[in-house]
Amino acid sequence: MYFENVTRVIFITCCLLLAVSYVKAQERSLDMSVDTVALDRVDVYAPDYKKYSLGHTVKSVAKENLQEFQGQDLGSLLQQRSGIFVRQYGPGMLASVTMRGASAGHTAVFWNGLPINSPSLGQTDFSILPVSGIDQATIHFGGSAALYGTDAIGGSIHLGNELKFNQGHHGEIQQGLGSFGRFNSQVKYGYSNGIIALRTSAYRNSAQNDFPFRNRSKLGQPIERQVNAAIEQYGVNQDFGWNVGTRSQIKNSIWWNLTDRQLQPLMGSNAREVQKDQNLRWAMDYLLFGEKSLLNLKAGIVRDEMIFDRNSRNLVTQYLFSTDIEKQIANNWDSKSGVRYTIIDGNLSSYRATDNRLEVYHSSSFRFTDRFSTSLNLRQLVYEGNWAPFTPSLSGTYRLFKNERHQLDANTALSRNFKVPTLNDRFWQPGGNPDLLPEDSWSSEIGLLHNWDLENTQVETRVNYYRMTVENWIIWQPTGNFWSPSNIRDVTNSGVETFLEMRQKVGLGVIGLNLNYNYTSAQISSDDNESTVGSQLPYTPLHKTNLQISYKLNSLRVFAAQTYVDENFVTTDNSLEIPSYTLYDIGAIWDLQLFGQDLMLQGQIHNLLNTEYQVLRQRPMPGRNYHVNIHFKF
Amino acid sequence: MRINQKITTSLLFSALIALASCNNDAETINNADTPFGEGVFIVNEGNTQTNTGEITFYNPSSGEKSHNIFTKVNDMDLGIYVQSISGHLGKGYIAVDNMNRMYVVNLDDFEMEGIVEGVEKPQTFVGLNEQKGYASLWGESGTGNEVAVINLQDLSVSKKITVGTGPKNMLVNGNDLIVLNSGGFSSDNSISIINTQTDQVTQSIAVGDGPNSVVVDRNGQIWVLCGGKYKADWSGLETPGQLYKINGSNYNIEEVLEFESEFSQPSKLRINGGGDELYFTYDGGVHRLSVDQELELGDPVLNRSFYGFDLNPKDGLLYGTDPRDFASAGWVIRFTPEGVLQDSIQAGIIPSQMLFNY
Repeated sequence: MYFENVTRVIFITCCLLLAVSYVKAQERSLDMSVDTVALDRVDVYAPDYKKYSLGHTVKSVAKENLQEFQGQDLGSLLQQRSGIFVRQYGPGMLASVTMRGASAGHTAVFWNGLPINSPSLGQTDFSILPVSGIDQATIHFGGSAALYGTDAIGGSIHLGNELKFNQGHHGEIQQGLGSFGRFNSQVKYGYSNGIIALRTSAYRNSAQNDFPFRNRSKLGQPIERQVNAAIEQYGVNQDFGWNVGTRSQIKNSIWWNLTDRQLQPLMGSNAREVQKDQNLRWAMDYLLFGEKSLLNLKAGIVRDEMIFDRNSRNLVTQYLFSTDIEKQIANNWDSKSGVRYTIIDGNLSSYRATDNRLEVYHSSSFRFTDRFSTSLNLRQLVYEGNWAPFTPSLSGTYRLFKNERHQLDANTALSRNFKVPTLNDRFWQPGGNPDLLPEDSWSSEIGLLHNWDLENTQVETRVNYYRMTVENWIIWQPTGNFWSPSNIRDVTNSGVETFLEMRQKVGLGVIGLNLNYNYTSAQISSDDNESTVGSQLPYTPLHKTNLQISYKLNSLRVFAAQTYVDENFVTTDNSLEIPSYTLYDIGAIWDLQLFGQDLMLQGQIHNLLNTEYQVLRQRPMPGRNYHVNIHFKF
Repeated sequence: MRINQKITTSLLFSALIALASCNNDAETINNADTPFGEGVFIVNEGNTQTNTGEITFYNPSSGEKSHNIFTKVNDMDLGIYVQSISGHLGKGYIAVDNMNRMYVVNLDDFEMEGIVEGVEKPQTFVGLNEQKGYASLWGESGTGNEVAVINLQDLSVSKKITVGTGPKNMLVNGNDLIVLNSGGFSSDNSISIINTQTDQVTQSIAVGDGPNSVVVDRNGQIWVLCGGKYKADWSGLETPGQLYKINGSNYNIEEVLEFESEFSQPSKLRINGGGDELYFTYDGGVHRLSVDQELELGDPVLNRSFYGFDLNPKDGLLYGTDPRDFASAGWVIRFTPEGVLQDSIQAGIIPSQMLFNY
């Protein structure tokens, strides 16, 4: 214990000293080298998520996939395209992700660098993150708490906006409609020159969700229409970039989103609940570019309000301040050090609480040789005087082989990861347990990445094997008269992730193939309840596959997608299961010119074979449904 | 498909009967004709992952048990938060909170005979005669204050009687129905007396906070157990538990036993078949009191806390439930009236209440 504290103090002191020395260096370089600026003149600055995660698997969601899911929520996109399993309570209803078999709260989610997991619930509802509200999404598979902080045990997801300078006036109008009363509209307008870039977008999505389903709660199981599942969603995005002089940039993003929805009841239930979520996120960055350095000051607010059944109001506001300095110390050594301070103010229906968090972090990437590079990340977080586990991560990539056509890399990563208990875990009345320990995880992985480049063919194949343990897993259980959480469970996860991307030119067209296959074993290794030890966590399928095949010819792109989810369990002793299902989607996107402007027409059929399925038991999902979208750019 | 199944089943039965008559084994015939009937029906509430509760049937004399009998027989799901199953004239009345429904089944074969709709968050059912029964309702908000009068001929709700907040357990006492106003998601400290001839509330009697269970003893005395009430910040009990002894004819309060614990709420008051010994759970154990002796809390009969607790009036065995992690199959553990462990039965998700059908 003593040793650990001393190590921490030394680490923090070193970080602070490094930071101070960088600032000094920065000041000097400001005066001396005005003519050498590393500032990108085209894009408003966006971080490179791969820079300090060499050896990790970091993948961006393809632009085509984002286009396919315009007007829908990010949860559906991830479920159908990413290999990640999403626990969906119904279309547009609560959607939480599980990465590498970890819990819903074990995926850190960021928007423009701000952590947006709810501090009270500890997770993100991906159904209230509309694809219309973001320009890009990057998925970091596997533990990454040393890079990103709390929650990043199974992985992390980074959402962001992209803004460009020198684009003049530009705008977009989008209108979609679909089955079961689905409408989606979006208007965007932007202007940018060499100094400023501005963009405003507003959207509205709505759905009746009155889809037919087989009602298993009635005799004879009649087909009925879903009731009380309507959704209405509005949002505004405002992005602003400003080149302040030649060396610095200010970047400002605001995202306001309101989702008002009826909560789809359990099959056959007469419950008529409603929930209104209002999320306001604001991020401002000041960036100072040096010759070989970058100073980033960041301030942000994340305000989440949830009103359940019109009377139970839960408001949590996070205020974040961070400073970090990136520095190229040598030609083969990039580093970043920083401090982040977070104030969380929770005003919930059953309690009030504040939480102050301070974290210091350091990242370094070294290129030892052309073939061998590593990343080292360190982070220490302190919340309300409690020390979260000190989280190091070490990863690397080694080029085994390379010639004109083939390249084969071996990757490995070892990391410690953690999750600070949520506000609800600590303060909920009754039952909240202020003495909870953070959930603590060790994760290791090895992987191979193969690139095959021919004149007409490109294939990228990636296979990872990981193993991880999560200790002090928090479970709520009744303790006499009310429920209370405690650190009772240990879980051991292991699995294989496979990603295959292929592009093949055929005549004038291009065939594309994307395959994600995940094998996820998540076993309870220790628990109070011995009958669950050794069993697979509920709602965690062993096998999940996403396959998409597309064909693009000139301005027309057609695609077909398949999602397979293996049978998975409902109970912790695996005594009750949910059957496997396979879903098919097809669609086409046609880019054409109208009066010299871009027009895009898009049509899709979801659940083509009208498969009857449930992701979560007794929560029906829609059968075959259609969606068309018109997108006009000027 | 179902018709085929029925034909197959009936063919099988006739074969069995033929076989049985050859062997002259009457028991086989009974078992085949009425797979359930006499025995113990265990309610498994279900959780938010399974999203349906279930009924387990256990036959103590043969040791046989069947799981998921409602789904198996009727090919449909019960729904979540199954509150209780009550027996009345050979039928079972299953109250399912989240479904706002009560299912009526034949206790011999568990075939569903009907559904009582229009009952918001039903808690328990008590049958009066062939015509009439009563269901206590918590309402959509969980703080409702009504008892529904159920017409047992057509399973309609003929009337709703306003009582106190969160009516739950009920007991027929002569011409009266005693309703415990448990408070629901709020709080209350009264019992309502309904005249079953007129279906009017004739009296409301103030007792301790959170009355949760009621029995009548062999002397006709009514016993009401009150759990007490938690402080607003849940740091402990504002009012501790109390046991009320109430005169069964004029409803005068005759005696009150005060519990001492600042945290534990006594609950699940049961009475043995002889009507002279009370059992209830309190402070991590099961306690026993004699109805004829001085009210004084001694050592518990057994030291174990249970989620659900019941007493089989036929043999006096105590049934305690352990739902484990509330997300996997729970257990029902049996003890002798003296608290000696007998055996345990695996049930479904969150076993809570039992119907002893004899």
